[in-house]
Amino acid sequence: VTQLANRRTAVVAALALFLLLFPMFASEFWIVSIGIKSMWLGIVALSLIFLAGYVGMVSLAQTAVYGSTGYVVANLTVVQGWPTWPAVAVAILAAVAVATVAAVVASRSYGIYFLMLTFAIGVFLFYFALQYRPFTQGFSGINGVSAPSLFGIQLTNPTNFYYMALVVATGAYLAVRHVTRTPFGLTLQGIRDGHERMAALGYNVALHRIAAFAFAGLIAALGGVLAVWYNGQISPGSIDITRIIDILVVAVIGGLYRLQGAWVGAIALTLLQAYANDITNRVNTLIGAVFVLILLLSPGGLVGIGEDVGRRIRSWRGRDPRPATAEVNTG
Amino acid sequence: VQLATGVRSIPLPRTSRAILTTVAVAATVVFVAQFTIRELSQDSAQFITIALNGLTLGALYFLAASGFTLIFGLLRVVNLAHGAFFLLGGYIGYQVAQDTGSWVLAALAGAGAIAVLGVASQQLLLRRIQGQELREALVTLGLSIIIADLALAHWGGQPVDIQTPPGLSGATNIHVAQLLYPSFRLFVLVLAIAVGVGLWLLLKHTKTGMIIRAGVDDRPMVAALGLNVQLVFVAVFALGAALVGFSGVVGASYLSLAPGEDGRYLLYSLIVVIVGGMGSVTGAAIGAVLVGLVDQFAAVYVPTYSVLVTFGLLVLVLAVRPTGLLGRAA
Repeated sequence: VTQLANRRTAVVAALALFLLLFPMFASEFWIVSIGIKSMWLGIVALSLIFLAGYVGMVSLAQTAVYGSTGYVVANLTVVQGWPTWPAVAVAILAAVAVATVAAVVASRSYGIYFLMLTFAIGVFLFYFALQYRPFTQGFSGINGVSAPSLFGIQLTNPTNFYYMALVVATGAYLAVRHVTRTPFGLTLQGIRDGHERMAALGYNVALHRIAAFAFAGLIAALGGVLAVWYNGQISPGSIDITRIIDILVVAVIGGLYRLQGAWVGAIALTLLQAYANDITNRVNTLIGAVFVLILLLSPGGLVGIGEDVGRRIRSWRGRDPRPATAEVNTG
Repeated sequence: VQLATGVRSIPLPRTSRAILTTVAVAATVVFVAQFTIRELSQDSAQFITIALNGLTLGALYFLAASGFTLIFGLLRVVNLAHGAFFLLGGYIGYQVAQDTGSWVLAALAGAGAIAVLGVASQQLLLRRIQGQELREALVTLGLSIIIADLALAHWGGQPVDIQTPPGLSGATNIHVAQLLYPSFRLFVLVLAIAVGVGLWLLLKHTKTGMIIRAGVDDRPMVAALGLNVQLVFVAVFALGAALVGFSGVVGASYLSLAPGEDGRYLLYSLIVVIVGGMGSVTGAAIGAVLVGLVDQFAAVYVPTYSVLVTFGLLVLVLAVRPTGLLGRAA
């Protein structure tokens, strides 16, 4: 077991070193279009994986949450001329509020009903953004959003932005991992596995689900702030059905039950989006086909396929100290 | 964070819940009645036009949502490719109408093509993961991206619409209100009523309908009785998909089709069946009329917030009846 722990530490250290040194050898295209983009996409997908994997709530409303953050940041800084950091704080609060309202509406439904309701909420927010022109400026959206500077460091610089995204992503990952291990997190997993039993034990199931959703909203909001700085603008197109599906694709490719999978899926999707153009004009068709194939073939996504292969190799070599991969709970 | 330890949500006693519901319903009825009387006396032509817009739009929503709710009722498949099916049915109808000039042929082609597509996706994709509701829903969502993308590649981004049949292209004079109203929209209303009655007859008064209803209640038992449930599944999927394809042609003649419309019809079908109760055709009819009316009145009276008002309807219904108006607990 100590051997396993050592190997694990080595892997984490190597990964950390790679991520830290990445901007030194990567081109600007790789830093920005692959590195930074997968960071924020991964953070948003992380919030979905947390909900799906640990609470049994497959939410399609995460774009609504990160979109609200983006809109508030854009409106307050560009239109109203606020300084950046207060605007960011207000935006994150607003997103958590949106998430809480969405959760209150959907907290009594489970499984497929929950999926449908959150999907309706996600698409609703898209139409509301289109319609509520005084705040969102309608179809064209709000342009000219740029990253601020922090302690004199200009975040518009790609390398600096990359490191900030890395810090936020690591923080989000550690925060979610921590929460899943607290009594609250364990209760959520209990609710995922049997909400009636948890209710019978005296837990307020609805309140826990709302709290979990609000927490996931906070995580998605962090991704939303990075996203609006990365894109420099926000419009209804940033939260339409294609984006909803993008987040889902990331989570499913990464495997809906592993937190690290969020970034595996995010890197896979950004690479696909960046390079699929060389193969075909129909990028969305390709993404859709990959998505359907992964769903049909492996419930654990790419991470699941990787683990499967790893386990086969180990068992072929005659030693596998690890238990078999857990089945996905599709609640 | 410890939210639990002994804290329990105390369910309202049945009587006080009933009182709350009654008060909410009564308040809504009074408000609607007052609003109707006031507006009718002030500008009756405008009021009736909006009401007709709401009703006919509701009819279109019902046509679209009936297929969705039928498939869900029996197969428990939430077909999120529903909007894409609608779009593709409309586009195929548009193509056929361009080539032949016949609206009826266009409608048949749209319905037929989507029925085939529906059966194909059920047999080739969904059957492999049958019973895993969430995975099925996600697969249909993936399917919807592919269909929408290919439709965009083939028909482009410009909106298209289908010429309405010659006899229905004009306007009908509604004498009571002294206004002219597009005949085709009234035809959609008639069509929706016909489809609704047809579905009701099929489900309640034929042997096939009996098998479908039995399948909704207890699938394993129907199979144990020696009936080929898989065949019934295919038939229902074909019928549901055909209805969606057909409504796509109707929708393309009523309004127009463009990339992105798939999302709108998917959203409205979802709201209609959530409000009406999942799997209930009657519920879908009530839900569609409610959503259509609320949508149109809100669009005129509170244009900046009409989306929120429609959303409010959904929230209100779910607060009073979590399973929708005519829905039963799953």
